[in-house]
Amino acid sequence: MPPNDDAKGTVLFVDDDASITTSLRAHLAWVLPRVRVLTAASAAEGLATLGKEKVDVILSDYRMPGGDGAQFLADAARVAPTARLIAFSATPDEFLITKGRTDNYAVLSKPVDPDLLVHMLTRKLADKG
Amino acid sequence: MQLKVLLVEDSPADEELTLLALRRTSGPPLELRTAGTLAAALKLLGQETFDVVLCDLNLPDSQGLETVRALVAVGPPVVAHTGTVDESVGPAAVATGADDFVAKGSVAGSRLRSILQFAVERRRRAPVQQTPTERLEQLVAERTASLQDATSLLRTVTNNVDAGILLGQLDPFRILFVNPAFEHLFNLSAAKLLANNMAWVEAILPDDLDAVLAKFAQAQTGPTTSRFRVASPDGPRWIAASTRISQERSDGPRYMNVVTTDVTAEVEAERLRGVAVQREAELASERDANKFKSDFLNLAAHELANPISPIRLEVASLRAMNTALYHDGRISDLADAMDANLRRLGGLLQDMRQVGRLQTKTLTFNLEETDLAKLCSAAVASLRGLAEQAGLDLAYVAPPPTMAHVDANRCAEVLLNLGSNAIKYTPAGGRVVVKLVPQGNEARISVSDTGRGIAAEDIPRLFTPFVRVGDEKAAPGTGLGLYICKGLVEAQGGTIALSSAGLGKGTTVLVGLPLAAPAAAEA
Repeated sequence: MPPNDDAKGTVLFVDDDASITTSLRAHLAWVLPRVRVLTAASAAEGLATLGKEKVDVILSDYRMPGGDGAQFLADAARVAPTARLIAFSATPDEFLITKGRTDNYAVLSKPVDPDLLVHMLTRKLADKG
Repeated sequence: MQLKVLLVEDSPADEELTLLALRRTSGPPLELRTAGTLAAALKLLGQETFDVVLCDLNLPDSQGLETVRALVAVGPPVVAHTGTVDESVGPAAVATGADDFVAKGSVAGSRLRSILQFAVERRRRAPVQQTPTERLEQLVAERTASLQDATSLLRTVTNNVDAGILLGQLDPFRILFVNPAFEHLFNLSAAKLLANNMAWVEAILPDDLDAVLAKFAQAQTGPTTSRFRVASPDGPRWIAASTRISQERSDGPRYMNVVTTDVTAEVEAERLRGVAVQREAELASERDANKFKSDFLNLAAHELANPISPIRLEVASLRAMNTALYHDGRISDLADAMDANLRRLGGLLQDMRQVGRLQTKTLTFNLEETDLAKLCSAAVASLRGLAEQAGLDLAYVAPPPTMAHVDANRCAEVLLNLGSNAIKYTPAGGRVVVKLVPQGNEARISVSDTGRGIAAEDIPRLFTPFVRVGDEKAAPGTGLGLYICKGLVEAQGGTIALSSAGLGKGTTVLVGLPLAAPAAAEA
């Protein structure tokens, strides 16, 4: 995938698995070089970041230690009402998808498909008001 | 017959015991009067009429046969109530004129009452005075008859009980009696048992013999019970025996009686209960082991899936780096190959987790009214790319909206699985057809292909996990797909079946799903 210089904005990525936050940050540096990537290892850390920074898209694992991902996404939507939300789940079952529909966030299954993720991220970034 | 009895007895204790024994008997009421001395007795007999007199011989004012003589002279039948150990007193009393005799406490109340009644009866039948000798002879005849009755009664009982009875004398051991049940239990005739006193012990299986002999020895100090086997035509027979040694007098002979019953069925039932308990324990530990396996499978699949996301992102970075810097086709080929393998690994782990969840029943189903026509057409649309790649014709025979009560996502998973199987096993130029037909109260979805087909003998194994048939290397796969499909379909109340006309002749998988009830559809 060639770099996309048009995509701009700030992405917050919340996941307790450092290997995935690191590799996503590195990958986005190649394919979306003008997008700023912030990372957080917990829900609390993510909310703290949202209090300090303006974030356009929030990516979060649905299941995390120290807080349920759904709760974090609900809190994040309150703290940063303009941010678009994307949730990862290793078990994207109907419950999660229905919830995604009503809470207005997208759901991506794990393991992550990098192209699909970048495609969705690009769309959400372009979507911003 | 109503009786008026005069009891002549000087001992208050004996009087009370005798009255008690007689009062407890059944039959018409007895009128019982008492006298403590011969004088008192004679006085009462002078005033009132009695049917019979039961008299103790030794009274304060009269001894032994004198008492009999005095009372017999008055008239009513007299029964001597002897208390002495000397057995000749009774017959002597009869010889003196008494109608009968009975030793105190030797018989039950009912028997005592019969003796009194008989004495009265005899007088009524033979009003002519019998000589004492005649009376004694008649008594002997009556006693013999009653003894014969008792013997025949005893024989009836011992011949008809299920328990085997052996009566033997000890010092030295000699069998006196065995009943038919005993013969049957030991498979030995009475003749053989009586001819060889140890034959029944020899019938006991050698393994059990020592324990039984020890129990018999123990019987010297009190009754014992034992269990042993004897050979029988139907296999070893279990026998429970209770052994008792008795001795009437300290200088008399010792007897041993052995009462035996067949407990084979009981022992077998006990054994089966033991087996059932053991089997239950085994099943429980098997369940634990299975749960451990499922838990381990779930955990392993989850943990193994975690590193795939970062690796796929890193491979994607590698490809992006190559695009930006090196433009080397070999690197992008390698990255493509790595990503394909990672996708395969991801799919395998996804299947493992699905199997784990099916086995632990932790998969949730959100059943709701779903249009299967729409669902099938969406599934066919997402399979179209795969079919084109494989050079296949993919057709969908669409009916009008067909509502079923199912979990849309699980059904889509099943259709995608079956469709991609059909595409995988059908050579280029072939055809895959997805068809939805409502039939009765179920929706039938068939996925048919013109592919390599399946040998008839392999079909029953296909829905078992990890089973792959035919040339396994021809197409990648885990052998979990159909197993998962079956689990997902059945959990929604549906059915799944596979048919093939044979190798090279294509395959059809038929899924039946419950249609929504019309009432529910209107609601």
